[in-house]
Amino acid sequence: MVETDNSSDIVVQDCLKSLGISLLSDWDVLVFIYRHHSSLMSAEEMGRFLGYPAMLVGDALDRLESQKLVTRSRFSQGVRFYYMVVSAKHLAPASCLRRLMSLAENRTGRLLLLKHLRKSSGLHAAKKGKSK
Amino acid sequence: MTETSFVKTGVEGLDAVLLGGIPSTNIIMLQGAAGTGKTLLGTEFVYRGITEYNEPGLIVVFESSPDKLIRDAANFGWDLEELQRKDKLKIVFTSPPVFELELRSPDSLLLETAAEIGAQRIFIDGINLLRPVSNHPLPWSGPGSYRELLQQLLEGLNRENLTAIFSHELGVLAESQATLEMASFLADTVVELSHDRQSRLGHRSLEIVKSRGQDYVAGKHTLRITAGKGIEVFRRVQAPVVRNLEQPTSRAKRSVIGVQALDDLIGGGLYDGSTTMVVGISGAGKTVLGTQLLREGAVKENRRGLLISLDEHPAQIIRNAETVGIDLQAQIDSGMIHILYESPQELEIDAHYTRLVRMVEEHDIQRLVIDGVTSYSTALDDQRAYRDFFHSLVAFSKYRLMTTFFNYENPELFGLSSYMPDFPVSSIVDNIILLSLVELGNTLHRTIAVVKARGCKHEFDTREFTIGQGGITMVPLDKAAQLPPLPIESYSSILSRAPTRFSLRGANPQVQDR
Repeated sequence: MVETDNSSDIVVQDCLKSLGISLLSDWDVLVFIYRHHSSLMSAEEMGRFLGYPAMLVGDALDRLESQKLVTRSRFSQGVRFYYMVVSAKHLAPASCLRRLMSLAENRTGRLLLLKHLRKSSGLHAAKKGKSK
Repeated sequence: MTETSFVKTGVEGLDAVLLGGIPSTNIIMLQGAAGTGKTLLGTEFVYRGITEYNEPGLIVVFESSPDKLIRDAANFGWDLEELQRKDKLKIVFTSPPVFELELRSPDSLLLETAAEIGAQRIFIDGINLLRPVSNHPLPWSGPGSYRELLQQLLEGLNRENLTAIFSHELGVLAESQATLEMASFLADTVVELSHDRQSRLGHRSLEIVKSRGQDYVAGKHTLRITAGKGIEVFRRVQAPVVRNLEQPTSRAKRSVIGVQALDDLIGGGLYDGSTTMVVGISGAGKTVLGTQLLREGAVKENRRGLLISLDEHPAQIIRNAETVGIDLQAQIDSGMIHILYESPQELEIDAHYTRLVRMVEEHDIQRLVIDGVTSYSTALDDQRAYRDFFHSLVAFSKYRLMTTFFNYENPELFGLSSYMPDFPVSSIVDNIILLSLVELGNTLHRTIAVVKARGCKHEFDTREFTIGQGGITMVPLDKAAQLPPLPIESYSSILSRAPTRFSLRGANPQVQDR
């Protein structure tokens, strides 16, 4: 059980919302790209590093790209470059991104993020089930 | 080959070992076990290229996290993140199979990125990880082999005219040895890094194993990793490189300590560039003589001096000099005398020698006192290193025409059976001065004798001296009290070095001691 004060919960919740991240896989892919700066690989390879199926990583990359958090180079030899986008035009998300990345650097922060992302992943799954 | 075709690594001390740098098209391999500093050296090579030579660069990593690379670099004051923001550096995380394909591909994303930032240097960390890409067993060298993979990779780097440096881990397994051997054949320059145990201390070293198209300083050089600075390579202690065989020689003689009687004893003073071994038991006055040599040089001859001690901290040396009326502090404040102290427990001889040479060159030192050489012997486990240090220092002193005193503590209290029992190098120095304690009655007296002074008509008298305010004072000779000289046949026990004088008529000893 992670004990945190309310304000941290609110910050995490607001920041995840502002970045448009609701799935743990999206967050993990984003952190991987953030930490590796310029990753030259395929979604399949990235999935092997993260322990996710290639399809899930591919979907996450699509969503992160549409949220303008990640950019991809052209496709060559089955691989692409993946970079983070930290745009000055979107100051609020950039600041949120920094706060969340800083939070993810320690175990307590990781657990806090997990708590929120699992909760929202559950909601996401429930929504998906309803729509079916 | 012209000077411009060499690439400077920018790593402190490494370019000196490489005699200027590495031929620009050479592909460099760093080999060594885990923890020897390969990643750091490769990173610094790229970092210095950007910051000192305006040569943007790429760092390719397969295993280590770029984030940690950036964090670790920050410990040395290198802001890699800022360099990435300025498009001077790109740290690429990829896998060995992708990297191998990329270097062979005409529309490679990696090479496109290199071109975009104008990269001129590339560091590939862990080239040995390419080995599993080849499915063929070693030492197969045909199509699809590890050797061919490496050749293709090196060809790609050559085509792009990137100055490439790659690291290769040195493992203990036979397969690892075989991959390393193969890579060593193909690389143009091979640099081996190692981390050995010397007694209980760790010691890092660097050795240029080969480098095509250039000369370099062979042997193992000390490597140091310093927080806030990076890598420093200290050239193996050895004689300075002298391109011609000319040895500067001076005919100028100067007073040792401003005491005429001592100058007379040594034959009129010391030649500039002479080396002197002062031998004596602890307490005989070696340090005082050395301190006076420096003070005399600074005050009367306008010659800067350096005192090197492994035994006493500068504050203690200054205090002790004060007690005999020698104001070292004033000379230190005016920059005429410098003191270099290093703890013998942590002595790394290559680094120590480099520091000594730098101080001598920086401050234009003309008088040097090593107090004392025996401390080096006990601090260094390696007699060869001790000998190299001594020989190098003598050669360096002579090359610079620096007057140098080596204080040697002889363990024998009364009388000497040899000048330097554990380190017989008395033939290398120009002069030997013996300081002794002599027991007369129940009092110890200090004596000085010059047993060797090259190129000087020195006296063979043993003279008494005292140490008081102002330092060494020679006790005047009382000619009337001297025994009349007798021919050598008037003595017995000459070979035993304890001659006894007889009367002209024969048997009974007639020695009249004071």
